[in-house]
Amino acid sequence: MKVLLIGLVGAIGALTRYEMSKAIHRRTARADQATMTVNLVGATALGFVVGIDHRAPLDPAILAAVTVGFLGGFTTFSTWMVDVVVLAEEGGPGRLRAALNVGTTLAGGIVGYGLA
Amino acid sequence: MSRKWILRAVVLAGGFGGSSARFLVQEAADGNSFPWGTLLANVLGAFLLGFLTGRRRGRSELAAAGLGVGVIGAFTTFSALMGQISSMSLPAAVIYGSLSILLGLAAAVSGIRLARTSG
Repeated sequence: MKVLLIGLVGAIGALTRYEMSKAIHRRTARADQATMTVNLVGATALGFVVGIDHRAPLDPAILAAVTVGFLGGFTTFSTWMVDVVVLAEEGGPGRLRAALNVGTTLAGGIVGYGLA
Repeated sequence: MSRKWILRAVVLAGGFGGSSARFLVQEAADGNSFPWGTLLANVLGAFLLGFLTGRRRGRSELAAAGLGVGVIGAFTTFSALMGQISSMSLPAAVIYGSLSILLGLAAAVSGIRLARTSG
């Protein structure tokens, strides 16, 4: 069943996000930067996969597993939103960081997706 | 099983649930013209994660990993949002993008506030 496949691959996507975020957070101590990196990598990867599919159509099940499954589980909207709110609540440079985060993530995501 | 692997296991389990649920919501509600399903999942997820994050009592690394990173993290998606925005006309993309972010932020704030007031 399609949902089962997507669930399984999505689980791996989530674990990959977890490990990657931990590694980045260890280095930068900024959870928001970890989320942004994961999301921009994921959006760019999606653009590449979709681009490949346009030129040489992939098996629909594999395409769904990679895009909806893995990349859908790898990237996250909720963590991004909470990150921004937490940044804004910090006060001081927090509000500027929050605004920059939204702009950079959105612009970076669209540009990244369109790179391929 | 070591703590590290227990945390990974709950992330996997949560990720399975979240991804499956997201897929079902998208299949049910993402229209040809407007991705209502993705919008719903993303905004709902932002609210839930806000609530989870805003709690003062009952917080645990296990819940953060399993529910936060796993279920809710996988339930919402940034990549699909980018793909959808990029395939829309400019006016629709602006509406969808703005709606996603504005509702998403409002949902996160609401979730955090609700968690703080309910203790």
